[in-house]
Amino acid sequence: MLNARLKLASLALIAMVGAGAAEAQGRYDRYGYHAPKAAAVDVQQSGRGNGAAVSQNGPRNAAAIRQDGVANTGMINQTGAANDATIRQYGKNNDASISQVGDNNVACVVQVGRNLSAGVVQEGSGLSAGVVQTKKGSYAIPGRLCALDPANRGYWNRIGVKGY
Amino acid sequence: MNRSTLLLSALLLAGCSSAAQGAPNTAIATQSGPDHPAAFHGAPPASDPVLDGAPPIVPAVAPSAAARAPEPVAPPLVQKVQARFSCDIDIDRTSSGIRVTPVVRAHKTLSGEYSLVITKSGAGGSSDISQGGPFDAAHGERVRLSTSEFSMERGAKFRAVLKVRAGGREVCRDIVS
Repeated sequence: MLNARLKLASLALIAMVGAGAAEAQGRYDRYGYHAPKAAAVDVQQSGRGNGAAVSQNGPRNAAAIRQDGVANTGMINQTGAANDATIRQYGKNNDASISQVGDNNVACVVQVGRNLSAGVVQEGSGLSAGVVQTKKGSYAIPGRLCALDPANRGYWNRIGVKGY
Repeated sequence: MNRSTLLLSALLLAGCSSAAQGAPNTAIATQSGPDHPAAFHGAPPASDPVLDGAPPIVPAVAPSAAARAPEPVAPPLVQKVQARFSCDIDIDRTSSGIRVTPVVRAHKTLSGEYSLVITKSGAGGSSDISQGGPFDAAHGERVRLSTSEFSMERGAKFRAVLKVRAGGREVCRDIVS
């Protein structure tokens, strides 16, 4: 019963989020990560009192922050070239940060819920890390799954997390 | 009746003249147009008068055509670079907000660095975006330095400042809000 309620709540949240979620402009294919031709930033916020800060120094870095809800904060710092960072937060009072120094790093933080906090720090080159966090727990995902959108059906299955 | 009218007029005149004498001086200076070269060097030009509140004592000289002719001044390096270089901030409406694209165009091959700072505030939230890094522009090439897209809800405001440096100097600046 509880599981069913959670599923319904997740689905409702995802439906509310809707399409058009921001994502960094880099892309993955079977050959690996491909950075955009020029540095890119995409910040999409809805709700109220959200805060986003992005700082990039270097060519071909890509950053995206999507926040839906109230008083969420997201921060991305990237120095180097061809780094990719994505933050998605849905809920209230969540806090996420990504800091990357080096080249060709990929990171993401996805948070669904309230009062969650997560950060990723990567220093080096070719590193990859993703964190998905809900009130039920935290899950690490590979960077190639960072482009997936929680608004899409089957998201939890694709990232390999059960119970949603 | 006539006496009282005359007396009132005299009093008013005296009051007006004393107020004019006691009023503080006000000066408003406004500059517009292209960036002043001194802004790039960080130091005021040596010929700027010192504003100490008193006019400088200058011996009176009869005006002549030779004295009025402006002295030829060599244009500073900044203006030369600006002449063969331009930068702009392109603004495009998107389905979810605004896309900001800083663009440079060089009339001669040029390398440099840029910095773009965007601040946006609105009911949905605030965003601070800072981008920068090196760039290379070939002869006549129009180079898109980066793209920044953000949501703009009703009533939201933004400001974007692009600064371009080459050869150790700021050669171009554009501000959009």
